[in-house]
Amino acid sequence: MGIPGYINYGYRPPAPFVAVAILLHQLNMRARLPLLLDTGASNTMILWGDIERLGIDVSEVKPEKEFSGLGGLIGAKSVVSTVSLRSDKGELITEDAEVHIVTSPCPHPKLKVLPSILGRDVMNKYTLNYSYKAGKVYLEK
Amino acid sequence: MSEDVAVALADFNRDFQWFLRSREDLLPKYEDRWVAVCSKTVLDSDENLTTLVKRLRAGGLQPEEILIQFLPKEPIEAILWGYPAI
Repeated sequence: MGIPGYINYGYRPPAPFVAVAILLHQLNMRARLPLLLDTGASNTMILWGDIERLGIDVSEVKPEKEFSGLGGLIGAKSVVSTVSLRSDKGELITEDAEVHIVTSPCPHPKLKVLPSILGRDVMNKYTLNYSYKAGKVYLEK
Repeated sequence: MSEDVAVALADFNRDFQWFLRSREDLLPKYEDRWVAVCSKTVLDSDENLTTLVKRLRAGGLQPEEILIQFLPKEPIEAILWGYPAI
């Protein structure tokens, strides 16, 4: 079963993405978003631009965890979620995940362009087939 | 319910694919702007994400269901990764 992704040439170098639907159970919120396939990220995470787009408020969610990245430490809250992906045959594949919502203030308005990311917590359930040369991105199960 | 999600995700995939393929065509008009895309059409755009989201909501649209992307003149360079802090 293959889930097609896309190569986004709006990044240098171009980057692999997949479109997902997410149900954030604790927030009773559904959303659709493109996620960067980031094998360097431990967890699936929603960043500032999408937080604003979705109007997410996690003030009532506890606890907060800290994550380290190149920019230093950021706070994030974990929300029990279902991540849905669509196969090339039109089937819906769902994964239970703890999606992390960044809580630290956006350090600079320019960082709102950073994409939310699909981390290894979900990606490790799949085989990632990625060939920039062939223009192919596939998650396979 | 899952059928609804599958259909919605199919539409969203089509819009995302259209946006990625149309990047060069959209750039002259929407350079350095946030664009809202639905049904392979740019619904609205703004330099400011907050303003765009507010306008979409005021117009009765649901930004969480719409593809909203920034269209930079130059491709974005970013290193993203995150681990639980030690």
